[in-house]
Amino acid sequence: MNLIPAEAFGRGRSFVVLLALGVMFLSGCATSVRVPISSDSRTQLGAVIGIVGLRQQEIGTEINTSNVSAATGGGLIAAIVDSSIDNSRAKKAESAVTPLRDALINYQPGNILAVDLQKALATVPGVSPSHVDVRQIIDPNTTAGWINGSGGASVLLVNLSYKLSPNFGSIIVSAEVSLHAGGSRLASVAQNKPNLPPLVYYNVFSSTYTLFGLSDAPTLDGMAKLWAANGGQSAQKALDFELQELAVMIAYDLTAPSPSDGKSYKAPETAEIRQIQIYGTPGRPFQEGYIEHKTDGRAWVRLPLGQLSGIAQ
Amino acid sequence: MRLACVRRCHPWMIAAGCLAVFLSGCNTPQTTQLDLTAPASAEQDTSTTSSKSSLGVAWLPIDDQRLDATSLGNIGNCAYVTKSILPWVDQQLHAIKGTNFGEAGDPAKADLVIKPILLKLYIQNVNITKSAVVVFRLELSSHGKSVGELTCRGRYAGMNWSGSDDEMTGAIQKAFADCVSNITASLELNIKLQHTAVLTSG
Repeated sequence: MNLIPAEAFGRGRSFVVLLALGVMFLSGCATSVRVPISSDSRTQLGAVIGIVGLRQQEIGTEINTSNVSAATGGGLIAAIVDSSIDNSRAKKAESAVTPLRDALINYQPGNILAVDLQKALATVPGVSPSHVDVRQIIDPNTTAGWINGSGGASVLLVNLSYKLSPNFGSIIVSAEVSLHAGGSRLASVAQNKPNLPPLVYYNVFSSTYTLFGLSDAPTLDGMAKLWAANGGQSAQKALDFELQELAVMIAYDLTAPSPSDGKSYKAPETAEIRQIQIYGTPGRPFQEGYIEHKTDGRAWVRLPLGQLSGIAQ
Repeated sequence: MRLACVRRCHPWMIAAGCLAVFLSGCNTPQTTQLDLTAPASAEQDTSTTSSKSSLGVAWLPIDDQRLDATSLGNIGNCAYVTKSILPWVDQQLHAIKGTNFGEAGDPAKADLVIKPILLKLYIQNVNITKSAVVVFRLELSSHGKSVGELTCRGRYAGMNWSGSDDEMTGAIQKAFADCVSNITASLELNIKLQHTAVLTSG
């Protein structure tokens, strides 16, 4: 029995092609984000320099995107409504964040992370950088230019970003970290990631600090004022903490082993499972991971593709 | 020739083509150089004339303290850069006039000397909204003595319609105009307070 009528073969073939593309797309998504580095490779890196790169000039904002289109089954009108709501929310967020940005005008997160990294990496054999620079990322070619122009030294690149959660209740600091061997060293084990030269280590980190103990849910303006009070004391405390945690997590992850099957980070049977909120995505999804490390009221959650997130326990 | 082509194409093909061209700008990483110098002065109200008894204000050269002098930020995958904009910024600041102050020219003869420090100048996106920001710190001195500092911010946020260079340039210029307006208001207030202080102490 033919499931696909002969006259519709063309359509059926398209379906098969689409299905195959879908499988390829999904299998691509399931590839591990983390590229671990072996202790052997670490010892062959030679001189290492650190670079903290920033795309943004001030703390960013995020919104919960409108979902009218999905709820009503799509259509142009619903899409226009979504756009209008998203624009209104973004404008409100960008206006409300002003007092916090003013309070943080002299705060240099790149410089603070550079100092924290230097300290944290001093204990990691082979990866301790001679110095850590802070630079502005201008476009997607900027970082490749820095790495290729390192004069033969290996480069630990930390692409740093920081933003407020959509309700301004949390500050989220995240970093995309890659390690590039200098010259032609470790070329045989190097891997590729988009917009980066061949690398021998890669992972994505985040640290979230939330203002707890609020009696009611303040408005965005109210939250921004809380963070900004006393010259931005709360925000600076949060950012100092998160940047330090990020540096310690990076140092920890550089020596953490590969997963047993070499690909996925499955939770050990005894591990505690936690959910991490992924902001800025329609539907506000959560991602599940397991607690790999606990320290001083904080939990480091390993996500299925290897990323590491620091949250309150 | 173009009309004939349009007649042959189905409307949905044209729409799909337009959409593809529109979206390709968002998906392909690219760097665009913006020219901020052209129509900016038209956006600002410099028509206020200073009174005869107004303070003479002199501007020192701008100290650009941004991490990179060429970067203007990113909208999605599109990075924006510009050649040295300091002469243009300098020109805009010198054009500022208030009801209580006017350009004095020579710092040695001025009542108030202002050192402008450019702290931020960027455009970014939050979802489909573009947001431009300009921040200056003004260090004020009078006859060699520091009399305080002001931090002035200008901003503009609006829907990102087409992502065109003109749209981005316009957004940054509007943020700059907002900053200039805030600088003018802050200086007016500061000068008024100083006058009051002098009168009270006198």
